[in-house]
Amino acid sequence: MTDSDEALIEQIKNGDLNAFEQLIARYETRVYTIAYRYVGNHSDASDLAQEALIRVYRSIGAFRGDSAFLTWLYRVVTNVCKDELRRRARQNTISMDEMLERGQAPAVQTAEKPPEEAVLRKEWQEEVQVILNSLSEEHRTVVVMRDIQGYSYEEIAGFLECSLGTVKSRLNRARNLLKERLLSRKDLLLGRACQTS
Amino acid sequence: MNCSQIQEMLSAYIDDFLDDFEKAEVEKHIQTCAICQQELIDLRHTVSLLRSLGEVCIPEDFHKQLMERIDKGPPADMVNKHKAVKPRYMKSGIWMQIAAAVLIMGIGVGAWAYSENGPLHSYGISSAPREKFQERVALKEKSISTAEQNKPTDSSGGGITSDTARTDENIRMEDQSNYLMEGKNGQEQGDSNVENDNVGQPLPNQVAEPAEVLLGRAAPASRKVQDKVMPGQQSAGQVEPSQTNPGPDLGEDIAQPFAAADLPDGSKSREQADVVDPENVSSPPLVSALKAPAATGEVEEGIPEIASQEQVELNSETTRDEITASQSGEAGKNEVLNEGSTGSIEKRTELVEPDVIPDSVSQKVEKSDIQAATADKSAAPMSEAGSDSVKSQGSSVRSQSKWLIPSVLAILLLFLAEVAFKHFRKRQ
Repeated sequence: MTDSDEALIEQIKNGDLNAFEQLIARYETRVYTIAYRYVGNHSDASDLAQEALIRVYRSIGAFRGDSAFLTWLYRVVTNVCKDELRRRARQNTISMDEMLERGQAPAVQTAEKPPEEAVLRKEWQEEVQVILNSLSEEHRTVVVMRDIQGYSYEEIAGFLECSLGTVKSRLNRARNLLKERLLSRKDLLLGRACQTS
Repeated sequence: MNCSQIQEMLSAYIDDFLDDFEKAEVEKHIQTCAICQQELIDLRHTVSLLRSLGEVCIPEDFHKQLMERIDKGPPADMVNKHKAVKPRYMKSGIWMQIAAAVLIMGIGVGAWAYSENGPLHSYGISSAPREKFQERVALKEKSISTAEQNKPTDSSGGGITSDTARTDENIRMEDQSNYLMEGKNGQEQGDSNVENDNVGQPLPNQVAEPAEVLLGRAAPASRKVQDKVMPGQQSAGQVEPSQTNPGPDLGEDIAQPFAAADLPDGSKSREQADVVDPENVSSPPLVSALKAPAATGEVEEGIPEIASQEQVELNSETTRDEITASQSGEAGKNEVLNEGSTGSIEKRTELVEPDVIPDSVSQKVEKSDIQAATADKSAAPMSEAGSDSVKSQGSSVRSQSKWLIPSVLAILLLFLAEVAFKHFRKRQ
């Protein structure tokens, strides 16, 4: 018999680390995937996902159960990733070599390569992620929040501390950029089967 | 609506985030515009592609690393308690901004309160520095007025401030010297002993206390001497670049009398000595005479007479000692005595540290020039009139500076109010 999230949370509050391990095992893949969509590489995604889960463990005493644990967990992950992307946007010191090393090369460069070769080199999802990574942190954040995590405009405005109009225009711009870059990769846009793990 | 406006709304249209009017406009336009229709299709494909992205495999060691990091960290309970205790407002930077603003205001208020015009000017400062501070203010005013007087009187050959005004100045200067002397007694004593030994005075103890005696008791009268008699000589003796070093603004004022006193033939000193009229002066020019040690015989010979008057008027032990020594000394020793006395006078000059109160030095120098030119006091009213005009200018400057700090504080208050307003508006 598996314990509910609420029961595990109560155990965690009492200092039961095993309960936390059980709870995390249910959601860590989702947490990791969200982090990966935000930052676009496995190394950073691993660090951010772990950071978010550690923050969940350490602040679980503040969780009062007003919302579902998954909703609260997503908010924590989103805040961690959003802060990281904001920090990167402020620094804006990532060199082109570092971008290439992290697989963040602009989509235009990827698109110039032969599609077959590129597809053979990487999985379909990774190719889409590369195009996603070509967006700025600002645009990527709003796209991931809306189209990956499914947040509403109001929730996104709350996360980003901006107006609904800003969310609307920013999301429109980000989607159009993605559309233009995906159109150069018809194979991706037509939709291969999602290779989920 | 044109295509551009419609395409701007397609993203929100997909999310059904348009109002009824916009939604109707988009649907109406799409039915008639193939381009925008294709745009909508492509955009839908893009969004559906993003939403179809599945989960990503986590690294194999992800879970292990996570649990290791949690084990290394502090217990959850402690962190939770810490988090619970920490109020939410502490997370925002508003309080840091307010604290910074208050800190800046505090510094500003403090600086103003302890400034010359501030209400706490008399607190937190010991009495001697406070008096010295007030004297510096007075001296600055005087030096300005004296500088103004100097130009017209030099050309006209007359014009000295009234005796009363000069006496006040002298007292202030002497008090400053007094204050400065307190920390230098030991050193001055040593110097005095050496120099008095050279003179042959057998009373080192009496001479050894010039730091206080010379400048404290004997000084008020000797200051009169400085002012009323022999300003050129006085300044010549006092103004030694290494000792006074009054600053760049005083360099010219000092250089002139210094050069005059250094004339080998002593012509300048002789002229100044001629001006000296012991009868018109309440105190004899002991300081001035002593300040010109190698000048002329006229000056040297005048010393005993002057000293005797000073002895009567000042009733100062130290001065009396010096005078006694000079009177009892033989004629051949006069020069030696002058040298020794000059040493004591130079000590006084040293006490008036120019970097502390440079205005006093310039004042002496400028005043000396005036007095060397003429001892006529009839021009005093004119000089005072000029002094008043300068004072009025100085007071206007001070009144302007009075408003400076309140203005800065007002700006800071506005900044604080703006920050608080933004904060509360944001919370609403």
